Amino acid sequence: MSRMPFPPELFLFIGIDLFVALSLLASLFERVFPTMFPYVYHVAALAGFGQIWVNYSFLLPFAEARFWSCLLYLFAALLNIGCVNFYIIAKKKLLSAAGMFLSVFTVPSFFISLFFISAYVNGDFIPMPWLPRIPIESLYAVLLVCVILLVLSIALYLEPNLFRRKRR
Amino acid sequence: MMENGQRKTGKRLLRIFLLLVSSVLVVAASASVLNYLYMQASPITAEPAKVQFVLTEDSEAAGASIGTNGTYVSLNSMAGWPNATRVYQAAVGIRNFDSASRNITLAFASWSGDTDQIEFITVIVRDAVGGTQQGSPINIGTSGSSTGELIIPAGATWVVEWNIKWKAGALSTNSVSVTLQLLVKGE
Repeated sequence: MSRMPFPPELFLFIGIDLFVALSLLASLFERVFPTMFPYVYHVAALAGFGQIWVNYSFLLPFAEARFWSCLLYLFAALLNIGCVNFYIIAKKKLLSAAGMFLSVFTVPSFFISLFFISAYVNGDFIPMPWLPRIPIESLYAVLLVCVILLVLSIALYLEPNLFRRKRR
Repeated sequence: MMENGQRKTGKRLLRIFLLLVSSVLVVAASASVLNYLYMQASPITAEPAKVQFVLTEDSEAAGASIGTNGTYVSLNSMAGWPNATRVYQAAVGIRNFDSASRNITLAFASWSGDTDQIEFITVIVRDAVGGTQQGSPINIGTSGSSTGELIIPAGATWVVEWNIKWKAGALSTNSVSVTLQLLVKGE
């Protein structure tokens, strides 16, 4: 018998949180981002709330439709995080800030999302054989990588010529 | 100039504050809807009972009829003579259909009728007809009387023995009704 390990709306909820976090970050670092960024992400978070409400009110018996709509929203949130990270590197040329953003926000949010998706699909409710079960123990490794990346980014921020000097 | 800067900072703080409040509202509202979805608990399915009543040697004499799915049994032709003990050694069986052992308790629930004419009714669970007694005997009419928690092994069938003794003055018109409960632990 296939079981739903948790309601797929948890993906939506993660997506809403990510959009809200992006909105607040864009508001705090307003010099880096365009003025409209916080509001656009806020509207995206509100749209997520609308989606969660639609799922609850109208789509409750259609588990598969709920799953795919929630997954799509989460992908949209993750894609935006990736784009913001790319924007900081490519457009703003802020390598240290991009590194910090990557270690503090991008990697953890991608990993947590992947962890939940893997847990969901490996409950065989909606099979996705190509996605293996991600053990919770891998969280330590990912967090360690994030900490190393963060330390490197802070070092780069404090000493912008750090890596250039090393190359010589 | 300084005033202009202060005004700008104030505006910025107000904007961030409003965004923060709005964010908290959106997340809290989403979380409460998600909470409703968690409590939806769908689907809840029925499954076969792991421990069931089954017919045994004296079931016919005791008038045992097992209900659908084996979770109920009615014994409707047990009787006893006045001042003599009638024993139904295996009025009904209790079988564990699970692949693991189960904790069960058979307990007295209620009785009614001409209870003052009863000398005693005791119910004993045994591992076989005339076999080893499992737990304590149940004294019908004593509130809270039960076998205590018993561990029935996987695939085992235990029998329920009834001992009935009417008082010497009991008439053939006297009767009592007894209800027992079988409690099974786990899902």
